[in-house]
Amino acid sequence: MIIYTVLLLFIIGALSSIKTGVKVDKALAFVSFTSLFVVFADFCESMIAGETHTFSFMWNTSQGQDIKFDIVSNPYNYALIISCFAITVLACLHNLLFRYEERRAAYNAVLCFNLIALILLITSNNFVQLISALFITDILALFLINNSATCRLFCMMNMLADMMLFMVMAIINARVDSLDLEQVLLYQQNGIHTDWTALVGLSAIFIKFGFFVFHQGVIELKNIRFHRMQNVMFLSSPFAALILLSKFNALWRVSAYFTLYLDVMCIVTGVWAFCHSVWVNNYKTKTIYWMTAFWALMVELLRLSDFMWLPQYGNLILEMYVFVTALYLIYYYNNRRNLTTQMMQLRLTHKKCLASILLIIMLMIMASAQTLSTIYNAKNMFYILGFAVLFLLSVALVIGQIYFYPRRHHVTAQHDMTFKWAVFAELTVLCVWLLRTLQSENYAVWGSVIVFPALMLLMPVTKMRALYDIPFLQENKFWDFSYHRIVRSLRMCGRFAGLLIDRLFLEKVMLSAATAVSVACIRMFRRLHGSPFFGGLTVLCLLGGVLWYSYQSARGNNG
Amino acid sequence: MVDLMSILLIIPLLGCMFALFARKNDVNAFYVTIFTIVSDMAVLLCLLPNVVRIGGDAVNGWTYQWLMPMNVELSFGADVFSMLLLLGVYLALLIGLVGLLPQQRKSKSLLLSTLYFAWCMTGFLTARDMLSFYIFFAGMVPPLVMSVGNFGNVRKMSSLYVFFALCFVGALMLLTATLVIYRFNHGNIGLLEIALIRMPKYAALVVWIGVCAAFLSRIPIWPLHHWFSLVCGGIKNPLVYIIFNLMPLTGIYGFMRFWQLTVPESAEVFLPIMTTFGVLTMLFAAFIGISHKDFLPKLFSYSAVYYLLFLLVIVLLDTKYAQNIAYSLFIFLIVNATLTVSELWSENACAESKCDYRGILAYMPKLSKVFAFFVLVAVGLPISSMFWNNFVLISALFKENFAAGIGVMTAITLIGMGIMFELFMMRSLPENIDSEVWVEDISDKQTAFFMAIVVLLFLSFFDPLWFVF
Repeated sequence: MIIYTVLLLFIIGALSSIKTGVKVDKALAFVSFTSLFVVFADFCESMIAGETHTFSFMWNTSQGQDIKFDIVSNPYNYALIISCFAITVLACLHNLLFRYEERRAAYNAVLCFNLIALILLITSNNFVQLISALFITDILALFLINNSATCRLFCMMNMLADMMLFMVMAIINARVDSLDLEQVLLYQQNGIHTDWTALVGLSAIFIKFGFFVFHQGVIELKNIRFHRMQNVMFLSSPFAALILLSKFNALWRVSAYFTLYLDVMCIVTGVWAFCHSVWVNNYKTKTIYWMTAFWALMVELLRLSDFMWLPQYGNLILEMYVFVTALYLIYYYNNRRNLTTQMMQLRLTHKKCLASILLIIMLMIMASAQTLSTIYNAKNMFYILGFAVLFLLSVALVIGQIYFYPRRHHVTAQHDMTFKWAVFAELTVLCVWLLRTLQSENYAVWGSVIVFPALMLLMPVTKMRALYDIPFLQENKFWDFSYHRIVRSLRMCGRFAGLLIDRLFLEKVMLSAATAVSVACIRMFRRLHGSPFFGGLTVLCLLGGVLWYSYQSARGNNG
Repeated sequence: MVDLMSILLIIPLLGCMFALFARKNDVNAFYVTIFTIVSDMAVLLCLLPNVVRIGGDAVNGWTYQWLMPMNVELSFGADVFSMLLLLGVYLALLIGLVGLLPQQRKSKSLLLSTLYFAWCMTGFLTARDMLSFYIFFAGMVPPLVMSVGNFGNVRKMSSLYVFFALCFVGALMLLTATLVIYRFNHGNIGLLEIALIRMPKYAALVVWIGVCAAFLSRIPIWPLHHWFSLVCGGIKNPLVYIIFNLMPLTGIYGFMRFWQLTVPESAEVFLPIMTTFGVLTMLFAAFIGISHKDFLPKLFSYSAVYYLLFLLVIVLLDTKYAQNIAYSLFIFLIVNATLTVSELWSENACAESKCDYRGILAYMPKLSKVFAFFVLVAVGLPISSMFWNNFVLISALFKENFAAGIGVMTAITLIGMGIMFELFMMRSLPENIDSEVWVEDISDKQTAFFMAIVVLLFLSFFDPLWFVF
């Protein structure tokens, strides 16, 4: 049952977050990974057994509305959880093998808590649990990023998306008068401002994915460490957005523009991301663009399967994770240099490593081809073929540039990197496992085996390298400028409103008018008072009038 | 229950007396103040289980027969709403006291004003009759103006005068309403019974206008917000700032107690105007907030936006949301106070070490953690019960008035992003970092204190009344 998994994950996370010395930390990280693996195995057993169970308790009761907390175990939820669970296990394993964290156990703890948040998101049955889990995922993303100040825009965009979703859910709750997620169907029938609600909600999801127009935040992730970037892209906002997209599919459909908006965003994002992956020099940015393009494909596939989660989708995510890990290995063996142009000249220093990486990439491409061929049909043909072609072209070009760029001068690696046999073994086993159902007549797989190396060798690597020297393509000034402009215009609005209303209207007009009236009154009374005859008499008459009126109104009765 | 209620009211007065006779230029008065506030909180925590058990209804506690021939009986009681608010006020004051710098702790008059203010707040939030309600409402103006005037560093004295005039006029308006009610009831009356008095239409309108004007004078709604921000702008003493920031709470609480009782049908035409003004002021405050480059003005805008949200919720929704409002307000008061203290500490650290304000938190890891947590709570992330209570409230607001809901969400999002951005700015180190800079972080005791508050808020996410046994 999923509730037990959550409890065990919480215990592992809590124990892993204990602050210890370096040696104990290593042991603790190992123990936490081992326990996580055991829990994962147990989870897989439960999934195969197809256990169904609902854990529910009243989270809060108030006169306004009751809020429940549910963890629903059913095959559908198992299928959704398994992919993020597997990636979390891999992330913890790589944390052990690569030693890229000073406090490895703490990092494992963050990953465990993040997994719990994702499970809560997947199994939720009501709005409050759903939005809470979503927000918690974003808070944990801050921990995954670690230095959030370098990814300000990413955090701000995520927060904006969260607030937009918060608003959408509040509107639905207001309309259907229920926190139950299934009641979204009622909103479909008698909701108000349906187009607006759906478009705001979808935009929020696109922000979380980092799709075109909203991509600048995700691109900022290049400022953090590679593995953290990889885990944020796979286990945080984009994955949460995918779940939301699937859970709220009834909501998006209330708008007639839904399909159009989704298609346009996915296609434009895909093309945009692949183009950038070709001409951007920063290796991490390239990786982010590939991942963004992948999420665009996933969104389209999900829509075309009527928002039903297929087991192949989980495989695809896993294959993409393996691919990004292979990219990390290239980065790692190139002394973590950020620019692709710097990597081109290092191909000879780690021959064995680079050959192994190439093998893993090949296996991954075969596995992906196999998975895509199983879900390929007339509806998604255009998207799958488009993605496959663009992906193969861009990856072949970049890998070709790194491996086969003509050698100019001899450069040696700064550090002697050992061959990480454990990582290679693990990735190879994983790829082989993903290829376990390979059939000999699967032409897509065998085709990819021929096409990818051919493209790698035939690509004009030297000519395309010239793109890296065009400042316009590298600097991305347009988007920085646009985002900056939006923020500045908002600030200007505030300043303008402050000056116009506070200073000009309130201080200069209203307060001056009040002062002028009081001055006029004082002058009038002074003049009245200053007159020896009329002054005293007028005041006396006024007082007499007041006394007479109060007597008349009260009639001498003070009770 | 009766005894505890009277003790609750007496403790701050005793504290005032002790503080009055404390030695000058010493920290005795400071410790007396802390002891008084903590003792009153303990009494409050003893009272709370009884109140929670009874539920939403007000529990009558203590009555005092005053001026026998004139039929004036003062009565005090509590419900969950007022108790939670009172606890929030005490915690906010305690945070303010902890936030005082060593030299500020020796200021006897400030601490005396604080205790007197705490007494007035206790009386105001537990008052169950019109006269005591008015007495305490007006009674908190002198300590407020004294502390702001003496320790507020107000740049424009004219703004302080206008502010005092506002408070004074507000108190006079409530006095007028009280006298009109007294006139028709032939004596003092319980707050819940006001609706039962038979009054002519014009008299009901006078009462309604008096009451509304009195409470609005305490809330930073347009155009009054300007003087609030002018007075607030220069305050560098955390305790004074917190006391000043608690003032709108009296207006909000007043509306909560009176709105359903006194509003005559003829006056309901003013509701759309009030809603429009509320939403526009929220948007205005949010825009002003993001245009500022410092954290404190942003925090002021944030508190204005949230106070107005609570005002809108009270006037637009029915009383079944009272508990949600109380939970949200309770957290809001604590978060606001903590952020004020943290920000003023970091400003002080900047001034002492002569380093840049941007990136100051990078030098102060302990304060940075506290600051980050409270900013995340403030922007509405699910770390405290404020998150889902706000969800329930905003959802109900959407149901009542869609346009107002959109306006409120826009304002909340803008100001939330504004303070989040400022947090990043304060945490990110400047490129040309000066390694020679040494900034004193908060002490371990202060860290422990704030961690306790973090725990309090975090557990409230699971059960807002977890501390009630």
